[in-house]
Amino acid sequence: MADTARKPNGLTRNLTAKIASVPMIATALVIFIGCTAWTIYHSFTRSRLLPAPDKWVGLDQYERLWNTRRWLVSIENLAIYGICSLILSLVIGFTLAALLDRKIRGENVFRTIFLYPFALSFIVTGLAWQWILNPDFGIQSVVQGWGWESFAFDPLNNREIAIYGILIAGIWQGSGFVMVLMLAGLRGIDEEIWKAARVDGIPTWKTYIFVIIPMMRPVFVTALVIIASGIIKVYDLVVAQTSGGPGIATEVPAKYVIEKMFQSQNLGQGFAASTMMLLSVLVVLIPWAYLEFGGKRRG
Amino acid sequence: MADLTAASEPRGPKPRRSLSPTNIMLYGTLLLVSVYYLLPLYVMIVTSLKGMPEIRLGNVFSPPVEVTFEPWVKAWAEACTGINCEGLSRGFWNSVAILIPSVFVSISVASVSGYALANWRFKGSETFLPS
Amino acid sequence: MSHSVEIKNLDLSFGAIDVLKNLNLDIAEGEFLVLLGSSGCGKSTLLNCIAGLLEITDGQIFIKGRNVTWAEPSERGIGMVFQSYALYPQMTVEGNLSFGLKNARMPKDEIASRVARAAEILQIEPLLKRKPGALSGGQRQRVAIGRALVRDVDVFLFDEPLSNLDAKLRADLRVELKQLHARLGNTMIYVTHDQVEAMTLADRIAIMKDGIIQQLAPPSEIYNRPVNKYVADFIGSPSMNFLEGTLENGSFSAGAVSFPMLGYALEREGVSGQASFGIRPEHIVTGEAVATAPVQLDVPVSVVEPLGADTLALASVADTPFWVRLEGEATLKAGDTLRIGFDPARGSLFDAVDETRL
Repeated sequence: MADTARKPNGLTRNLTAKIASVPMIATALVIFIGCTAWTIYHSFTRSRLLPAPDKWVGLDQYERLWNTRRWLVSIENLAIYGICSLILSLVIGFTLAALLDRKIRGENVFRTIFLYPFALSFIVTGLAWQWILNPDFGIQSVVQGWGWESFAFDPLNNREIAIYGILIAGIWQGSGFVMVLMLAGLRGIDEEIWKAARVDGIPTWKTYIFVIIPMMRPVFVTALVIIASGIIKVYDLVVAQTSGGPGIATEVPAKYVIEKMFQSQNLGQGFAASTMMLLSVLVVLIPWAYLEFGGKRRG
Repeated sequence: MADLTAASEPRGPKPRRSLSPTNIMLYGTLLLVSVYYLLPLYVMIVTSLKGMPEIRLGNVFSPPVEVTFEPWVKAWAEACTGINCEGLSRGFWNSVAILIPSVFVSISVASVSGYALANWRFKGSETFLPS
Repeated sequence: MSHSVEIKNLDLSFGAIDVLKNLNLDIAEGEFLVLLGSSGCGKSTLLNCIAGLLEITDGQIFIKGRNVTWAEPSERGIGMVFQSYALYPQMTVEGNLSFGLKNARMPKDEIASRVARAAEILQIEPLLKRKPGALSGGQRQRVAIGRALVRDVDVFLFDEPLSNLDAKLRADLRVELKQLHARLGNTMIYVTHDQVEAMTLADRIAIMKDGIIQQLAPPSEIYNRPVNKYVADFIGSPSMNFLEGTLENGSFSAGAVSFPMLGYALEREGVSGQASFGIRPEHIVTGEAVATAPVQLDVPVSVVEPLGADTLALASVADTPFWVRLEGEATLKAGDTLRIGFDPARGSLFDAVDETRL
C-alpha cells in the first residue's frame, strides 16, 4: 500500500540528492568505465601512437604478448614478489602491531619509526636501498671491513635473487602501513575478551592465534586488498633499484606496459598487457567481493 | 594467628623484574626491527651531509668526516633537471600549485557525493561507497 | 564461619588517583554478595582486583584461605562473567566452553562431561554447535555463565552481566541466576548498578561510593536502616523523601511541620541539632489508615503518576518535594489536597553535617 502510494513521484523524490550525485556518477562512468573500455578496445588494434585507432587485429597483440620472454619473466617476478610480500607484510605488520599492543613504553616512537617509510616515495626507497645493498658501499663492504673477508651479500647483481633485493625494500616501505591497520584492529578488540582469556588461563600467544586473529578477519582482508593492489602496480621501485636488471631479471608487468607504450611506441601491445593486468586483478577481486558482500546479503 | 602468617605472605603488587625474559624479547625485537627501518634514513641523512669525494671514497654507513650542507642548498635551489636549474624548489611549488586545486575539487565533489549517498540509497550505491 | 573470599587493607591507585582505599571485605562460603554503586564508585575495579585482572597497590586477597595476591587469574579458582559476554566469536558455543579446559590439557571425556553438565544446567544443549553471532543476548549470557561453570570453581564473579539485556530478559535471567545459586551453592560476587538486581539476588549488599564501602548488610537492613544519607537516597525508587530541620528533645521540626520521634531507636541517646529526616514514599499511608498514624498532615499534590500497580503523587511538605506512593486505583488529580500519615519510627534520621545515621 505505502509503496504504491509513493511510486508516482519516485523520480522527484530525493531530487536534491539525485542532482548532488550526478558529478560522482559522471566521474565514475567517464573515468573508470570509459577509460577501461578505451584501453581494452585499443588492445585489439595495432595502434602505435596516441591518438590512433588503427586496424583491428583481434587477439594478435595477446599472442605476441604471451610469446615474449620478457613478459613471462615479468609475470614470474610479480608472482614471487607478490606472494612473498603479501605473506611477509601481513606477518611482520601483525607481529609489530601485537608487540606494540603489549602496553610498552615509547609506543609512539616505535610507531613513527615503523610508519615513516610509507611516507617516502618508491623512488627514494629504491635509491636508498640500492646504496645499502651495493657491494662496494653498502652492507657487504662494511661486513668485509670488519674482517669477514669472504662475506658476500649482493642481491641486486645476482640474476637468481635480484627480485628479493627489491622485496627487502618493498617490505620496508609497506609493512608499516599494515602495522598501523593491524594496530587499529587490535585496539578495536573488546578488552573483556582479553580478560576472559586470562581467566581461562590461555597464554597470550594462544589468545592471539585462536581468538584475536580470527576476530580480525575484516582487517586482514582490507590489508590484503591494499597490499595486493600495491603489488600489481609495483614499478617505480624496480626502476629506481635495478631498472629491471641485471638483464631482464627484475622486470615487472607495469614496467613492461609503460615501456611498450611510451618507449617502443607500441600502444596496442602495451594496452594488451595492461588489460591482462586488469584481468588478473579481477580474478582476485571478484571471488573476494562475492565472498565478502554476496555472503552477507544471503545471511 | 592468621594475621601472623599473613604478614610474611604476598602483599601488594607482585614484584616484577624489569629485565624479565619477556621484556628482553619484546624490546629486543622492537629495537632490532627499528634498526632495519631506520637504516635507510640514516644512510640518506649521512650521505646528504658528505661532500662528493667522500661519498666516492667509502661506505654509506660511515658518518661524514666533514659536514657540509652544500648538497641541501644545491638540491633546493641549483640542481638541474632538464633545462631548468632551479632545483627542488620549482618542483615543490609545482606540487603546491597542484595540491590546492586538487584538494578543493576533491573535497567539494566528495562532500556533494557524500550528501547524495547519505540521503539516497539507490540500487548499486554500494559500488561507490561499500558499506 | 568459613571465609571464601577475604580482602585485607586493599589499596588501588592509578598514579595519583586513589580508586580503592584501605578496603576490607569478608565473604562467607556460599554467600551471594552484591557490590552496588553508581558508575565510577570502584565496584568493577574491586571485582577485577579479586579476579587478578588488575594489580593492586597494597593489601592482600585470600580465596578459600589461600593467599592469591600474586596469583594469575586462572590460578585463583574463580570464574568470571562479563558485561559484554566476551565470548570468542569465531568458536562454537562448545568451543567457547571447552577452550580453557583444552588448554589446561584436561582429558577429553572429562571436558565432555563438564560441558554437558553446564549445558544441561543452563539449558543451552541445542545451541552447542552454533556460534555466538547466531545467539540472542540472553543465550550469549548463558554461554558466558557456562564458561565460568565448566571451570568448576568455588567463586563466581559477575561484572554487570545483565546490563546489556532488555528489561524483560533481565528479569528472567535474574530469576535463573538465583536458582543457579541455590543449586550450585557457590560463592558469588556480583557487580551491578541496578538496585532491583541487588535487592533480589543478594545475601548481603555492599554499597560503594568513591572506592569505600558505605554499608555492608543484608538487603532488608540496607533498606530499613541505612547507615548514611547516601545509602538511604541510593536505595529505593522513587527515592526517600528528606525533610531538613532540627532535632530537639526527641522531636523533629522542619518549617511548620513538627513531630516527636516516638518509637525511633536513636543510635545514641540525647542527640540534637541540625538533622534531616527521611521517610520512604511507600511508608506513607493515605485514606482510612491515616487515622491511626502518629503523624498526620494535609499536603497539596502537584503531580500524579499512575503506574498501574500503584500511583505516585508528588506532594509538598514544608516546601520540600515529597513523593507518596498510593494504590493503583487512586483517583487523585494534580491540585488536590491529600491527607497523609506516617510513623516516624519507620523513617531515618541523619546528621545534617556528616550525613551519618542518628
